[in-house]
Amino acid sequence: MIMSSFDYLKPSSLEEASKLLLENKNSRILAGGTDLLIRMRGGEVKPEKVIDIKNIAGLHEITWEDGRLVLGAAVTWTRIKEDAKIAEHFPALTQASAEFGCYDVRNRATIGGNIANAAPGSECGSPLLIYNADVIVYGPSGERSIPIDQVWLAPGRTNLAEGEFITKVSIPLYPASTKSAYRRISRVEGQDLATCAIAVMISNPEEIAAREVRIALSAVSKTPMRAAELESFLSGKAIDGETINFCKSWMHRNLYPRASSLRGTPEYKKIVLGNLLEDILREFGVLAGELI
Amino acid sequence: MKHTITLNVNGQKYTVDVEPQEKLLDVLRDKLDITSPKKGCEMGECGACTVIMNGKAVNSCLVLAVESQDAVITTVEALHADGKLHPLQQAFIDAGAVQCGFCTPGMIMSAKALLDTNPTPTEMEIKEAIAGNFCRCTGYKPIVDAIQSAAAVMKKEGA
Ligand SMILES: Cc1cc2nc3c(=O)[nH]c(=O)nc-3n(C[C@H](O)[C@H](O)[C@H](O)COP(=O)(O)OP(=O)(O)OC[C@H]3O[C@@H](n4cnc5c(N)ncnc54)[C@H](O)[C@@H]3O)c2cc1C
Ligand code: FES
Ligand code: FES
Repeated sequence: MIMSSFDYLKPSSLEEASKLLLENKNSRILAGGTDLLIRMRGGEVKPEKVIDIKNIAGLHEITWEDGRLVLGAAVTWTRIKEDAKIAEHFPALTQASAEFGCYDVRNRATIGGNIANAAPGSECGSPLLIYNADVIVYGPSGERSIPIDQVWLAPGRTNLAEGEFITKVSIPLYPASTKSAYRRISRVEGQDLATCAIAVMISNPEEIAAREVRIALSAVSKTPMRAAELESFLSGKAIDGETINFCKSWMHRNLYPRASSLRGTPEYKKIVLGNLLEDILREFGVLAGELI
Repeated sequence: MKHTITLNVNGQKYTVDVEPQEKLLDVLRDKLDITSPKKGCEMGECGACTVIMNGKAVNSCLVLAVESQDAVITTVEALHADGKLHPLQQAFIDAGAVQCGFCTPGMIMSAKALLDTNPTPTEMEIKEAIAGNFCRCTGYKPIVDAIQSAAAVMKKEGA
């Protein structure tokens, strides 16, 4: 039982949902409820209206259109995990879905809720960043698209305007030669949040000069982040032991994870992320020669 | 504002008035007298409240009762038939997978949701399926054993 009282509303269109959000300042969208209901139970948030978006047609769809994967905001993590085509094109997202929570939670928790919740270690963070996803929102002035690296402002805070909510995530497809992966470390295998996580994508892995490397890191800053400097350092060059050592020292010099994290010390996270990067590059087969 | 919802629990249709603040878990236990789902953490962490909702294992503490309009819910109460325990229930007894028993209804529902879609799971798949169900007593080994032997029995019975 939740202590504070509220009205439960179940709009059946985007327009209706946006209107309800706008009219009721103290309202919250409800998707899977796996974050919201816990916050409400703890009294952290006390919305007067809870607006369930699961009755809106289209928000549950997974579609492939114009060279893009489009995930409705109410698509659950279970559906992402079980989708073979997503695994083929976006392995980092599938790997994140396998790390996510447990069966019961994945069966309810949605991708839209995960984005909106804006946690620094959210499972969607690093995968969506390396794939340059766009978040599609609907609001009083209609639909607009926000590049994923502009969605998160701070823990729990997004770039959504009043009356806006997430309807879709749209991800461009990449050539078949592209490699990508996600790795996360947590305190226990099974149900836990990420201590830290990394996603890496390499385009043209076979042609060194044309290689483009993308790297995203989770749970080391206020929001999931791209490591732009590391990306340009690694792009277009042969990767060997020395390059890897540079990446590891870059982690030490440039990351400032919060010292008060319960899940891992800053020092630990930096070491782990360097090692995970090395593991992924080795797996991709782009690490030349033996390491020092 | 009260809502009147209709849902199917264990093959029986119920129409019940609920407040928005009530969880599916509260309504099952306090209004429908279906007490196998247990209230542990109420935060999605322990799995004691696991039920099967429209074919999927969910934490009933993380579902508002109003969200279960038209839902089909299954709890442990529905598993035995004609006075005979379900193979999962029998296997839990035989393997010593029940000590205090608080986690058992949730464990069994997670296991059932698994076997309904994957009748021959590997040990790893079983562990994954019960990753959200905590047990303070058994050390999990007898639970995994019980699910494995129930799967074997169900396969034999089905064959
Ligand atoms: C036991 C447990 C384990 C967990 N494990 C993980 C984990 O491993 N990794 C991880 O990243 N998270 C984890 N979580 C957190 C949570 O499950 C995820 O963040 C989940 O994706 C949230 O989605 P939801 O649909 O349940 O969101 P809800 O709880 O419905 O909503 C979350 C927030 O987002 C808002 N919101 C929801 N949908 C939209 C939308 N479409 N537009 C705008 N705002 C919206 C809500 O108002 C609310 O503020 C876990 C939670 C629990 C309880
Ligand atoms: S009571 Fe629902 S998960 Fe613990
Ligand atoms: S038997 Fe006691 S918690 Fe599992």
